[in-house]
Amino acid sequence: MVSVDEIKRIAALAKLHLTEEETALLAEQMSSIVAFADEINNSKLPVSEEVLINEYDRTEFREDEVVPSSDVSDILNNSGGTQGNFFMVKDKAKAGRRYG
Amino acid sequence: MADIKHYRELLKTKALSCTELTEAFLSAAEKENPELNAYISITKDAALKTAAEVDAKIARGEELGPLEGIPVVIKDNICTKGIRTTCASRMLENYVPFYDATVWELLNAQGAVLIGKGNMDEFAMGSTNETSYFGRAKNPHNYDYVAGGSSGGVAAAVAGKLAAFGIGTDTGGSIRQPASFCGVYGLKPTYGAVSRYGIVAHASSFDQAGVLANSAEDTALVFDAISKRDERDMTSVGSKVSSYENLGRSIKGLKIGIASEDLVASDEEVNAAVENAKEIFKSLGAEIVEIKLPFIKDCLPVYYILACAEASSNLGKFDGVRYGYHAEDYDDVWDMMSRTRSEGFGDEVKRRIILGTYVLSSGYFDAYYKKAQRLRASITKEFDKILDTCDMILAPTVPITPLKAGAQMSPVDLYRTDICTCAVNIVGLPSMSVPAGFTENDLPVGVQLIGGRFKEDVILNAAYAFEKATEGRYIKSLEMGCGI
Amino acid sequence: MMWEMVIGLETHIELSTKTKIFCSCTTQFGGEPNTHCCPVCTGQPGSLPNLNKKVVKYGAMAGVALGCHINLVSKMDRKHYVYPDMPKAYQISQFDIPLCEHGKVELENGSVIRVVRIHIEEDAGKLIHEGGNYLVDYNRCGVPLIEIVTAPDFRSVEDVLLYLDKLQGIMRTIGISDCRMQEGSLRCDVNISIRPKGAEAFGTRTEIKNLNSFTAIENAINYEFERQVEILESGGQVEQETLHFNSDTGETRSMRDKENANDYRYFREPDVVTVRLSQEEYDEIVASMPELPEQRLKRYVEEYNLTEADARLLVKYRKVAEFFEAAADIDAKSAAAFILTNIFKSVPTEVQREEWNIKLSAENFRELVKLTAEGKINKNIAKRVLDRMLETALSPAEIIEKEKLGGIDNKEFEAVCRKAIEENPAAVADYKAGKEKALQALIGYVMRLTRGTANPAETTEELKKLLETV
Repeated sequence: MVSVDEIKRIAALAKLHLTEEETALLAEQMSSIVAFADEINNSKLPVSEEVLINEYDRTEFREDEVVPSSDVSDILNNSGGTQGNFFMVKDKAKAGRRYG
Repeated sequence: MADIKHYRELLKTKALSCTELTEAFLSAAEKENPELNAYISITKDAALKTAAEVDAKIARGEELGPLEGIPVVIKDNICTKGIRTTCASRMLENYVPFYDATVWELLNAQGAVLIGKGNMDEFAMGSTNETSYFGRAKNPHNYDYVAGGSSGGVAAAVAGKLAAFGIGTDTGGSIRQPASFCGVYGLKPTYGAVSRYGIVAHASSFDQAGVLANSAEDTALVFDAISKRDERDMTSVGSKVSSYENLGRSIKGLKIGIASEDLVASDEEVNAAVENAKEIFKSLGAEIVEIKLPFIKDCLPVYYILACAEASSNLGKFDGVRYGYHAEDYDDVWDMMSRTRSEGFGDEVKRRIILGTYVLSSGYFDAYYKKAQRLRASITKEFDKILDTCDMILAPTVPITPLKAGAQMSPVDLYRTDICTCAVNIVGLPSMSVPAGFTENDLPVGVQLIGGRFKEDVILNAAYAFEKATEGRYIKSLEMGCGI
Repeated sequence: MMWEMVIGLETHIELSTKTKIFCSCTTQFGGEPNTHCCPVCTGQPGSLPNLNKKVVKYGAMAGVALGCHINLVSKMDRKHYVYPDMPKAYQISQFDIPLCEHGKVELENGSVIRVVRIHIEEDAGKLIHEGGNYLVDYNRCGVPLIEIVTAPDFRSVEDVLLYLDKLQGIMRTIGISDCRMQEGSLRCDVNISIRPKGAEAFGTRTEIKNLNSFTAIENAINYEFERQVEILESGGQVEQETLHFNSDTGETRSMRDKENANDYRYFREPDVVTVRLSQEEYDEIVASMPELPEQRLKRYVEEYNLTEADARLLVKYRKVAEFFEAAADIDAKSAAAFILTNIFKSVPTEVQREEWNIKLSAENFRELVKLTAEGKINKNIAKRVLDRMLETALSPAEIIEKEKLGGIDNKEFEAVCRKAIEENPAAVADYKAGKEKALQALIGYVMRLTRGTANPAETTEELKKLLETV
């Protein structure tokens, strides 16, 4: 059983804003999803001590040589707010109203 | 059929120009898409620009490369510079990347013509393409049925001949399952064979870009073109063997493992297709080996725990500050971020973020994430042992036949349909879905060929042999596409 | 009740690699906002980290210099927290298998500080809160850092300042960082608790952040110590919290930020393969470790007979030490004196002494020391020549020639004084009779003979000495 408080805690960590209804619904859905995840305890496989990573022959890393950076206009192009060359986020906003 | 070779011949013999070919595909796409919804964006300008360049090359008498002028659909979670890449989400509805994914860069450099960006489940989370912000892609064999997911749009476009081939991504079955539902070939390469750079991450240690096409030959050709080591992706190693060059070998003596007890579909029509495929392989001289996969059920929770954990982490970057959707109504910057995410993400995405965050959170980490990681290693060891006894495994792709749209399965019931495919992503093996039959109501059924690491050439060759032996009767020609 | 302070430090040092830790953008300081960025360091969807091999090398060098065991095999982990200057909402760092472990730093006051671990990680961008808006610049995002964590072995402000000073000297000597607090390439967080003197159990600790100078560190520690003493002495309990130091008020204040429970949800970074340093690379690092300040100091005191104080000043800056050594074999004490008393006057700041951009070359300095040691020029002339050399780039010979400072070595000087005495019997007689003022005439005479290059004080001394024997 996943409680409403648990959902609130997780949502806060995951930075998801949930209404009371959404929280209640998620608590319900997550209970069955977590029960599904709990099936991991049915495994009869020996639990490996080590962790295997698929990385084959990668032992050489990148040389410390500068490559020209992206154009600042590209970097800012998809942003919702800029000020000069900065990304800008207004402290607070109300839909439909303009601040500052 | 070997569409790519066919189109290349047409261009080579100047039966038609690349521009004419491209315009035909664009028209067909524009005609069918309002209903089929395989494409989120149809990239007319980019397509015609490339076509013009290819035609100029032809005019100069230069030889064309294997994929030059060939129309392609790219799943919309793969970054295409200057072209909207949405991941089928409100969050990235207007996102235009300023760089190319490596896999697209490779194909673009070879002159492939981009017809459009393929529809998909939102952020590649789903099995029916129904979580897309832009509506579901339909199954071209029957619009009442789903195209599958998450690469549903790509599979639909390829099946409907609205592109000659497609690039999708597969994290737990997202190429193979829609390939099976739409009756096309779908290859998920070995983890590391294809670069992940520029592919919007779902689960980093599971994701691979792969190929959807209408023949084994086309699949092999495209796989060779995209399986290159990329310095920008530390986990990429590329492929050392050409699959295309190795087609046509006899499969006499090929050991094919079948888990007749453990990998059984719930739908009899699927089992029938697997049984049928087994007989055909036998008739070609392959040796059937009985294998045991008693742990196969464990793969589902292991997959969902690990994949959702990584996904929850990968989706943290969507906060409205640098790109993408951002909330317009908020009290402070943290509120902005939370609301952006709530408003920008759909329900399935949120569920997976919650699950992923849950299994990583303190108090649960050991019981879920840590345990799943160690079981992943155990599962890998088991598969390695099995692949010592056979060259490849034959199994169902999906335990069920194509779902009707709006089936409203519960999240967990839908997750369970990944049982045949997700094990492969856990271990990082190559696997492909091969069209192998039809249901009673004429819907496609595929079977899965799972190979050893970096043995794409083995499974592609087997698929090729199967296709030849069955004279391509499991690929249905639809009354769609440009008819060229 | 006697209380003792118990302190542990977490120090972040920016590495001076050319490129960032996970992308090839420049790490150059300054630059218009967001002009040193790319898809990777701005966390664009689909971007992937690409580890800079030099960062691993520099991290290992820091570890070797601090006596650590180096983990030739380690890994990167994701540390999750949300802040507008963190583009991925996680920092790629190292959690349970850091690059270096179990080192130590011995301070000159006898304290020994255990280095628990050193790990490599990426820096965040810069967030400015201005006029009701948040402005973000990601130029700094992805700059490589090492984090050095000590055991709670500090027992005084002196310990802390000595440690940081020593750390700076070492990092600059091995060349992996400028290590400057004012520029942000050295950042320090202080973990402090108190306990009754002699007790073994640790008290509750607080963490103080936002310390931008050695003075701030000193003041913050002293303030926090007193604050905790007051709490405990009045029967209260110290709360475990993160504090922000305000250098204007000199007080520590609780940081009331939104991130209360920091559940970092560490897990292995799947996009970065296992971090490896080969045995050969490790051996090479050990073999090419330059002489560290402490070793150099010992050598200067033992070989060159310098005082510890003088030696400490010389070894503090690598270039100064090298400059000194270019002339030390001729006359170490003289060379040291020239540097510390004269040259340092025109190179007064820390930064300047580190850069050592003086017009005077090592060869010319050596030449000057040689001339002085051989008595060819007296100390006074030498000082004037030195000053000139600092202004121009000329050699001693050129300057002596140009300004006609030369020609009077100690033997000649003695001869000139004798001559003055011989040629001024009246003045000599007056002096001998007790008239001190008569000496002035002799001094004036010497001045005329030497065309003004003689030093009055030295002349006085020399004449007096000779007059005794007359």
